[in-house]
Amino acid sequence: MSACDHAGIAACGITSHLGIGLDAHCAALKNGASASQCFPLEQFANVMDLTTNYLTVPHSPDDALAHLHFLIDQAMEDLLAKHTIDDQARALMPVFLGSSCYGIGVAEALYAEALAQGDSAIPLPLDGFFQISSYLHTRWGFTGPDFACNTACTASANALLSAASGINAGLYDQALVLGVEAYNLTTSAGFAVMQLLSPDKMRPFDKRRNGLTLGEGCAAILLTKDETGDLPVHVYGGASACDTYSISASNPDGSEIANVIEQALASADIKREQVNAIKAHGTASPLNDVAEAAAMRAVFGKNLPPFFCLKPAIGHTLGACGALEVALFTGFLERASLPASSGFSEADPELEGVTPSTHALAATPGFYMANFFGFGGNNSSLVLRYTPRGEAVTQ
Amino acid sequence: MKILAIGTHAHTFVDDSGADQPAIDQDLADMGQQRYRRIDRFIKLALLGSGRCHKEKSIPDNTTVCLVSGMAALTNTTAVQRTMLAQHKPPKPIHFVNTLSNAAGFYVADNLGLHGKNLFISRGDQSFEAGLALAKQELICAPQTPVLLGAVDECPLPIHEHRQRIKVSSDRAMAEGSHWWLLSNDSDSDEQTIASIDFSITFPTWQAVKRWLEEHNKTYDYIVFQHSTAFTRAQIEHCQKYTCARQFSSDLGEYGTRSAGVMTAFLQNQNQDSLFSISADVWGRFHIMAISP
Repeated sequence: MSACDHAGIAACGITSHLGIGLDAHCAALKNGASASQCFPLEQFANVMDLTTNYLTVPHSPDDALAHLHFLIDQAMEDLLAKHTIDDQARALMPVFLGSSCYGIGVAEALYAEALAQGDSAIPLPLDGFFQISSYLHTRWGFTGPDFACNTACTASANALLSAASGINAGLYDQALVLGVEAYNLTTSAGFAVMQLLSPDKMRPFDKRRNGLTLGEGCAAILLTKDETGDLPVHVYGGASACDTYSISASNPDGSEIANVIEQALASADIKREQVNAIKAHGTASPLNDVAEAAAMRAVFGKNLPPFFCLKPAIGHTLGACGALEVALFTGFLERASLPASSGFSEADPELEGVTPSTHALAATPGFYMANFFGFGGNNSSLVLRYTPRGEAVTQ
Repeated sequence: MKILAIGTHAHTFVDDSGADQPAIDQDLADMGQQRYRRIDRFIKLALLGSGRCHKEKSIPDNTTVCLVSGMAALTNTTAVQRTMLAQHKPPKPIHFVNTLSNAAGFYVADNLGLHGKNLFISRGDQSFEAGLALAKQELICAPQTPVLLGAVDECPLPIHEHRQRIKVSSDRAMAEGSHWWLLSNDSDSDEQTIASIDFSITFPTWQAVKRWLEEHNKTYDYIVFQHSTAFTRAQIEHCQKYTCARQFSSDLGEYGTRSAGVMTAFLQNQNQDSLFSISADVWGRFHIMAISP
């Protein structure tokens, strides 16, 4: 074995609608799990009927702060059960957070409570960004430099990219990346009024796709300098760029997404032909899938590798999806397999032959791609490298 | 890490009614910026500071935007919260979108024609320090790609309510700020350098800072204690002893990225001097940085 210059994924902890841990997730996803959970937003019942479609984490407490902590605890306990991190390492390693909710649900609850009590209620009565880093600090002893990244749906993908870049540049030996999304009214109502939610289930890249299902969850990923070269999955490269076409939609011609995918390939110093498979962003919104399909066609042409989507099973976990979906991808690669993409049954002629894989596949050693796109024109693409345990990593 | 250009706006409120809140629309129009509809004050502040920076020096289109803020788009987000929870009405789509912390970064990139990485980072009152640390990392990983670091915080009205939100006493002046630094790698041959940033480091304890100061053994012209009430007298004296620096202070009011405002003011007025900045956070960590001519 020899050292690898790229950040390795030492361990992942995960919780979502599907339960806790990679074993539970991989078992459920292997054959393409799919779920939806529609319920009315009763807060607005006197004004209009508004429904959300949201996959919540089972058995989580109702109290907003306890709920946020519960998600973090589940992911951290899962991570630490697989990989111990001593007190000194916890005290020093940087923490890269990715979330699009942070403490907004906690702030909503405090404000609603104050309104109900007739107090002089103050909206947003706390620093929301502070809530996650504060809890990691006090409950889990991670006191190193923290970076709370919020770039909407790319937040934890960008957090991963920053952490991996720092390790690859030799700035630190380890970093904790945490992606969290917890149920909150602002997000549910916002996506509902933007008419982005499916009334039934997610069907990424399908002709009948009609929107997304939101989801909550948390993934904790320990990235490390791979001194022995025996970690099976490495963050080998990646890129992030801003598409100023629209604040809420990707350029439908796919050019800006294609650009960030090309940059990610260049950062990993690999050719497009070397990508074995892709984890698509796949929000199942009519326009965003058009843009993503156009980008994949532009980059890979007729040699588009198999691709799959994870959101139909766990929901779109927004700022957490980078960490959650990379953790899931890692879980599958460690099992030398790739999941089936659920929700797809009918090809859309508008996507010109871009259809996800509907069967579980074997994962062979080599390079894989994970794509994430978000509001604010934020596009990110990560390159992972899979090397089965026992096989030497070659640079 | 070099500072190539600075654009800034800061305003300390003298009237608690907020009547003296600067009307910045005309400033934006005078700069010939793109006209955007339905943008909130946080976005306008970001456009103002970044636009002023761009006026000082043209910003390359591959530049990484790193926007940092203590609490981001508060005026819009608090209005959305009131609409939903006090009036029981759903938010308007555009108001929801503008609650996203990276919305301002999007408009900055669009206005300046940038298409590089676009990040948003927060770390409470040490958000600027976090941004500097990340900017340094970006410049190490991609030395040819400049970083436009922006520190923006608004002061939503009513001011007395915002004081309660951030837990400052009623006699403390409040402020808003938008401070943008165009940064490049030390190896950049650009001669238009305002100052260099020597380091930006976080220490877990005071003991670690003490050790570092004793080993670092470098003097500075000035030292600033950001959020100075968080320091003990002994800590202040120890820092002054080892840096041999005179204390620099600012009468800027309170806001999350005030440290960016203090350092920007220093650079504008005393750019021939060096400055050591130290900030203490609520967990007992210390964040230090230094700039030199």
